[in-house]
Amino acid sequence: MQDSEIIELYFARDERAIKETADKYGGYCTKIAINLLTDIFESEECVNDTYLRTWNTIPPTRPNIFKAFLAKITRNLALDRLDEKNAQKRGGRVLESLDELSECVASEGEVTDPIMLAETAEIINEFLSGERELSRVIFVRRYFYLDSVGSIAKFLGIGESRVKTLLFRMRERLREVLRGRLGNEG
Amino acid sequence: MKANEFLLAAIGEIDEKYIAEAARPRSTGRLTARIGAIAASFLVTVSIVIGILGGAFDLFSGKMEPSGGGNSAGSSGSANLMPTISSDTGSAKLVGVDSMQGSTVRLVLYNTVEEMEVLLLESEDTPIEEGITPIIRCDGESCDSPPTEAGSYRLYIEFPEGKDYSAIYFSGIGTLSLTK
Repeated sequence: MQDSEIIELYFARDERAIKETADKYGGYCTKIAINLLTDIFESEECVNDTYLRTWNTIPPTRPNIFKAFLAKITRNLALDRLDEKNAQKRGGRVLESLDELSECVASEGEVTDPIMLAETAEIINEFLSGERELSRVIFVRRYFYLDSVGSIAKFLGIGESRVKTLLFRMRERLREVLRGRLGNEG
Repeated sequence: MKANEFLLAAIGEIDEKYIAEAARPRSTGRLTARIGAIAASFLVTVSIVIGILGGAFDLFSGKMEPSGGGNSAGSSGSANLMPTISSDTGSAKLVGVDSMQGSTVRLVLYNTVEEMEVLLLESEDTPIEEGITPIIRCDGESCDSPPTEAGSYRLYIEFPEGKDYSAIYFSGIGTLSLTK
């Protein structure tokens, strides 16, 4: 079923929408959840929450790209679950990503302004738009999907060292873009 | 929230087009041939948008040949192929899309690359199912036996039966000469 048809089911409040979503994107959402939560049962719960959130969000929201829309919800819900745990229980992939992203922000300062979240996302969008597609895909797979370097390399058919190099250079460029923000005064 | 945690959260709010872009399957054949001493590496992306519109095969750059010869024998369908090219090096050119019949698209690529990857990407309307791998052939040979010399090659993408994907991406890195 086409995404547009599934979305219409949501608008019609037809519960087949959830089944069609699960059939088409259940595996995709589960993969995102597992990358963060590292637990299959918890990931399945998270994906079920994704369906519920989607049901409650559409309508009125009409997603432009349904697959990415689901990815965002799943990722955010998984991060919320992680917030309920202490740092030690966070998945290794999350810790790796946080560690790497620390290079883009010079200090360990706290950020509390929620308005900055959207602003920062816009800055990252602009940053990504100036990157080559290969670099952009690597960045998003690493820090949105939280894929391992190995799986990104396999996904793209390139070497792990190249993935690491491109990520390193992107983090350097992002650090410059974020200079003066997010505690990065460097 | 610590700054790095905030940054991770902000990445979760990026434009959905980038999320979708990174989710598109990228695999299939990978041709590797090192020719000459061209040192620069580059990435070329050629996207070909294929629409089944009826009528005769369209030609790109005036190079496409009418179907009927070679592998196009037996063509019963009709298609309007509309290639578009984007390149960040300016050194790649799609010479033509020869024909499309059934689930096979025949392409001719003019390029100068060292390594070449043939990538199939889904269209928004027709997501590629996980596990689907198109068959890529070069001059009738599997991409497991890539060309090792500069020359003229024809690439064939065989789509799984019944599938109608509307975008194909070619990426080249390095120096393989593919000329018509």
